[in-house]
Amino acid sequence: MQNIIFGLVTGSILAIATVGFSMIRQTEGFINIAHGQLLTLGAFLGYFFVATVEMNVFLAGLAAMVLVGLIGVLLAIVVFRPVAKSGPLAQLFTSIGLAYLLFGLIRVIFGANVTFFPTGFGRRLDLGPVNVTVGEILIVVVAAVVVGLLALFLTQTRLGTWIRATASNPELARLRGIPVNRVSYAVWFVASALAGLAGVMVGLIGNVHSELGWTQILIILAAAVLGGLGSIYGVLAAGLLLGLAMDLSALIIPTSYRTVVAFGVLILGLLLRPQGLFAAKGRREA
Amino acid sequence: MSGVILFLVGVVTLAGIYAILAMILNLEAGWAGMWDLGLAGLVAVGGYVFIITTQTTHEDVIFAPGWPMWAGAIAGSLAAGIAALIIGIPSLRVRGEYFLITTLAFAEVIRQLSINLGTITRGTVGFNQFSRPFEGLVSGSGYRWLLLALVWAIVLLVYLLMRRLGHSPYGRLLRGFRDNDPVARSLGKHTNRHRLQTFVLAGLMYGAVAPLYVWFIRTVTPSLFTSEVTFVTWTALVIGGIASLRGPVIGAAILLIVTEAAALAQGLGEMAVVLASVRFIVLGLVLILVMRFRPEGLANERDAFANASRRVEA
Amino acid sequence: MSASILEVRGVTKLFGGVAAVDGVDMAIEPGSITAVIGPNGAGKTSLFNVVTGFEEPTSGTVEFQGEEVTGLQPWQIAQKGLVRSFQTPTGFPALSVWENLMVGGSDARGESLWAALVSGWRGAEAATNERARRLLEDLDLWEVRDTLLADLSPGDVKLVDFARQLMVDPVMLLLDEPASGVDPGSIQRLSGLIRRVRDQGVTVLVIDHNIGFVLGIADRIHVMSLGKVISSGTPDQVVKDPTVIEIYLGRSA
Repeated sequence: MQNIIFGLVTGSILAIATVGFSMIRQTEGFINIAHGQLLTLGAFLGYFFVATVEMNVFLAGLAAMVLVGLIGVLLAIVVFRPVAKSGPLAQLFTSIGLAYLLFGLIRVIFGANVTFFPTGFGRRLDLGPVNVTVGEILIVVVAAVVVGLLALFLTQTRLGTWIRATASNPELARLRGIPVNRVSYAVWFVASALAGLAGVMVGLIGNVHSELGWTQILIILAAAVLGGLGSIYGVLAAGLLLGLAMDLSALIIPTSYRTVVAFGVLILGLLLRPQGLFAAKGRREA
Repeated sequence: MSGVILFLVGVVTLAGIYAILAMILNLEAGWAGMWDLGLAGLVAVGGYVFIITTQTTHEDVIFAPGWPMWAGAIAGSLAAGIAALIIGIPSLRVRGEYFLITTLAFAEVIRQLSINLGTITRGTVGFNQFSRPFEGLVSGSGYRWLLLALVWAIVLLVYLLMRRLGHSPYGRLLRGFRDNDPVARSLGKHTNRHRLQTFVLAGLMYGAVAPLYVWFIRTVTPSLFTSEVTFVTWTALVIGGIASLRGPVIGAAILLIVTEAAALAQGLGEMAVVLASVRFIVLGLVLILVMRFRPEGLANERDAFANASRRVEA
Repeated sequence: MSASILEVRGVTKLFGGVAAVDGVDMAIEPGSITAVIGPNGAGKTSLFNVVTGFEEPTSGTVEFQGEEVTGLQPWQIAQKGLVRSFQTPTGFPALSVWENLMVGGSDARGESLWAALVSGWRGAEAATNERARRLLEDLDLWEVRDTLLADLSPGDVKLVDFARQLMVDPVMLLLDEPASGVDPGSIQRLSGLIRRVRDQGVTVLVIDHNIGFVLGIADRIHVMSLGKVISSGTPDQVVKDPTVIEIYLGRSA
């Protein structure tokens, strides 16, 4: 049905955004609230490239991704690296501060109004019982391709293997001679670029506004925790699950309750399995 | 000129409100180690129950009993306490980051409910016709001074209460199991029950304090209780010095004056959006800088609790 | 039937497919000092965890003073008089020495929220206060009573841990590596303290790697390896047991 398509789209975007978030959590060790603002940045940059610079949408998306990726690395060096010694809570609060800083800057630069991507992707197609726009198909396809590429990168390349090693055991990785700095920059670039891509996707199917970051980070957190903070595949599954849950629930309850549904699923999930659905390591309460 | 003075009175009043919120947060997070990211939700419950129960006009709400203010305040406090109990029981089964995210989730659910349950809360329209205590006694702008005094009188009260709690065996036990839960349990302490108790106490207090916030802002809408309230409170606590006694007050005062003063320096009128944005930029910068250069904050826990044994002698 | 104060029957604890504790039977006599030794990974700490409620056994029972305590919460078991120590981290670092002891000795009444807000706590704490003072003076810790645990030397931290456990007025003490990281001079003092505590009627069960320390204080020793008890007896008997020598004493720490 129609809602399943919506759910897949929402879920795909959420999965892309959350994978990056989860990578940061695993390799850098803290929860980065500013991830939502990077998403917003991606959305606005994408809009800027399409509407003002009049780039082709695909190029604009790519450009936004790369730019946000680089900004992510820059922020990691300037803002997060110096605080790393103070522990994950200090880094968490730093990320909250950064989120507010970016939020304010985005509003100043791009304004507080709502805009949307002027593209031709609104054309609807009829595929049997469902009715989709080109944009929606594009998002799901691109998301699948990106995830596939990411999986290849993580398993087939040397850098990818280093990243996985660092994610599961940073100390051991360091001892084995893995260049943790390079791994760190790579992770920040990839994670931020993914956030930027998610932002562009959000812009494609919906509106672009400065508040995006705050609403998105909440659902990202839900997906990350539900998937198990230590598992990338879990996070992908959780993203899709929440996307489907949110849009399918629209069949029974008012759509304004979407985020409530997401959190309801999260809270239920945590009660049943406190370590997340697919956690690599268990987190039992003694 | 008097416009600037009145503005400053407002800033100091808001600083006082956040000082109280920060002191409560200090109790549950600083001393008991519960990293609560959902306090905005508890304040929302308190504020909404207060305003709903004290409403006298019946237009478009199904429930408006028109109780006196003191009854509404008690109702708000109790409601927030019950909400804390409902949130606490499942949330405290998970620790650390998971607890953080779960409390944030609950706060967001509460905010969404306040938007969607329009027949009780009037949705995004909210409430803006209500009276405030002692309003008949002073003229329009003079009331701001009265509210300022009221808020800071309560700041003092809460401070004395926190000092008493902090220096008690109860407070001592909190700061013990915060750092080492297994040892506390091996001594026979039922730490989960203490944590839940503290969480509910914090809820009761957040609810009791909500009317102050309502009287200051003069409207009650869902946008009043976003996670910004939570984050500003946390920033104030972190700057001032978490787990200390005076830290929350110092932090709130400094943070509010700095962020609101930035708005003042910006000028008036046409730069409305930039004004609001600058506030966020300053808030973010302050938090980043404090975490970078003085993560332990200004006041500290050691000084607040030094020489405990001598407080018993003599 | 038995006069054992602690009776462990057929306790097994599985983690995944691995048996950390494998069908262990143990009976501890009241008023004795018993030691459990064995190489790393032998299951000693897991056994402690099961006995004190920090882990639930996969099978088997634990009885304390004739009452079954299997599966109870740690705080419940502690309130029955079975108090354990931890190897690391120890104690409450943000609290002073005096406060650490007071937490050990305070009861639910003094520490309640009601007492803090309404009724006051000085009355409820007076007796505990007095006991703490005497214990601190006894152990030569009175001068540092206001020093935070985080600022103490490791040897003193262990001493405070011990004192804090005594404040609970335990029936039985489980000590997990009390001698680790302690200098030889302090080990003598520790041995003396343990004997004194036993003379006052407290039963003691110790895990430690320091063989000299263990041989010096234990009435009875159980040797564990790979989750099972492979030998039990007096220090003399155990030292001469060939299986023990082969598995453990040959490569003692």
